[in-house]
Amino acid sequence: MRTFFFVFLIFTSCSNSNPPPPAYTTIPARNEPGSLYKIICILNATKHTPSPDLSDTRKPNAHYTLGESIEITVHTFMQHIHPQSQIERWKKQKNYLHMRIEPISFNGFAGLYFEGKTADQMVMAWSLQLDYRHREALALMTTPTEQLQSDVTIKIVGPKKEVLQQKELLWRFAKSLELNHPLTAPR
Amino acid sequence: MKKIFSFLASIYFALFLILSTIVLVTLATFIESYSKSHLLAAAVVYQNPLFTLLLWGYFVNILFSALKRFPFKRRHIPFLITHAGLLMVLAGCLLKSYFGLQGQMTLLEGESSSHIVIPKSYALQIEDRTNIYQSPIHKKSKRIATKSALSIELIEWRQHCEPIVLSWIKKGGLDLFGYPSIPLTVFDKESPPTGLNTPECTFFSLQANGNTLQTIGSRLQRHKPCVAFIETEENKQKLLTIDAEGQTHTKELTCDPIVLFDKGFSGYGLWVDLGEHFVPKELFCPLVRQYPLKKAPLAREEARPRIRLHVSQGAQSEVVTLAYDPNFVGLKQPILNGKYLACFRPKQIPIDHTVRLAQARKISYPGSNQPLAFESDCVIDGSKQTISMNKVHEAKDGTRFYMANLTSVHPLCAKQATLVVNWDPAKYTLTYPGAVLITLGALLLFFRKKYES
Repeated sequence: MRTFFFVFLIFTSCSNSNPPPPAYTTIPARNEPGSLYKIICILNATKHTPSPDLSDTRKPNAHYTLGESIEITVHTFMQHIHPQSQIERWKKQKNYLHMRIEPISFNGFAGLYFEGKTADQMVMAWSLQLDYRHREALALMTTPTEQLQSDVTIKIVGPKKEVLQQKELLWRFAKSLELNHPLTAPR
Repeated sequence: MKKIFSFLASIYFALFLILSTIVLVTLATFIESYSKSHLLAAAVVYQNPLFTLLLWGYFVNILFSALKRFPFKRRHIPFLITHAGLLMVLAGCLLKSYFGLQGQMTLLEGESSSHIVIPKSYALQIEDRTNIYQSPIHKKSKRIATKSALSIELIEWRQHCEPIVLSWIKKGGLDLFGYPSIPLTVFDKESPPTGLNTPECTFFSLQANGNTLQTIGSRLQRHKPCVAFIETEENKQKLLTIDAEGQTHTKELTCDPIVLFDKGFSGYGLWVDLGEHFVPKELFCPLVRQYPLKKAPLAREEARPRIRLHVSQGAQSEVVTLAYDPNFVGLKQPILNGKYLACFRPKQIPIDHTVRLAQARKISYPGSNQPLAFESDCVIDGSKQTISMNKVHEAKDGTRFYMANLTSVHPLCAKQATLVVNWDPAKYTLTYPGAVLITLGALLLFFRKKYES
């Protein structure tokens, strides 16, 4: 019995194996060749081809449709808009019954997360700016495109029930946004 | 010889070692408590050669007391196992202190690094346009070896200085880029300020002797448009502008934003945008640093040593003064006409791992803002890891990553996490097996009677 218990303990001990890294897709720059950011691919999401002319900031840099009707758009803005101003703009777009706003930071971006619910719709949106210290570091580099210092918004709109079902996945998706080439800590 | 061996293997030597340790550790505790400085206690006691000698003393005592039992008998087995375990743990400690690695990695969310900082170490960092060279530096160093093309000599090491950055107002005058120095006017109620008049705009440099900005503002109403640089009694610098419409604007001048001329190789300056009502619209001033010496603080953590170096390359030479920058926040100093940048910082060591910080967060107790734990999501060598205060990540080569600290300047800014990185070369070969042997030996000693019977 003791031997069995000992062997059982050995074979049921914790494993250090990690899940395989997720696949990433890139997000193009506005009217510049190449891409600026990467974000994880959502399986089942349809990726729409971005407009050939992205000079109009109303056109998204990346656009996906998840399931039947969850629309995911990623925009970049060269002109800096304070996240709070962006949120104020979003607040006015629909008659929200419930709203939640909280600060968020990840992968060098910082800003605000907005969640709004109407009777049948739900919006999850992130208004993000690259941290000022990263912008300073980028300004010191010789070759970076100025677009790297852009503000970024991620907006997800869809039927409330569907968005709530996919909320965890959508959060993981948004939080995976990062610069294509990570910034090296200054020495 | 036999007498020495007997003494070194004796219980009396063991007692002497234990008593000495008690005395030294008590002393260190008092020093730390009095000075509030662990570094001072470490320098006086723990890093003292006497303390290392004590460790060696334990090693010798345990080894000799085991050897004294030779030729070994069966009843010695528990005793020998315990002593072998103790020797292994001690050897592990000594090896770790000589060859181990303990450093810190401070990362902002989104940043990656493969270097660690060795706290409280001293290194001179020289940077050219393509490379960064580091040389360890010690107060007794004379010539500093560097892989750069420079010849560097340490000519002075002082215990403590408090660096200051002079900006707009220097040596009793206003220092604007492109203008001769404007004399400082000490403002009082009787005499109106005078300034340097240009066709487009009037500049003033003022020292406010207890007067408010509003008082000065009213004095300046007659000059339109005009700019006044005011230094208060607390050495704070303020900018007061009156535009063409007579509107008054005030601003406290800090060292932000700093302008880097040629990425710092040509020095640094401050910049102010006065607005469209002013000609010139923008003003610059070069930054000047000074390093006045101060009495060294008792807490060594607060000490900022100052060094003076004689730097030369070919016919060019220069005496450079640098202050210790333990937090990597100071500006690097251009030397030899901007050919190089120099700074005096803790030593940085490359490690075989690349860490990228994705997100750092504070976990609070439910319903309160009290921190329960700090956590960070890192990508270490391409694999995602969550490190928290109780969850250490250990790489395959034994390098361990601990979460040590988290700072945030503002909720709408990226967070900064400090990871402690350590590598113990003897952990799996000596320390842990030694601990297992001690436990085994202690158990055998405990059941010895039964065992012997």
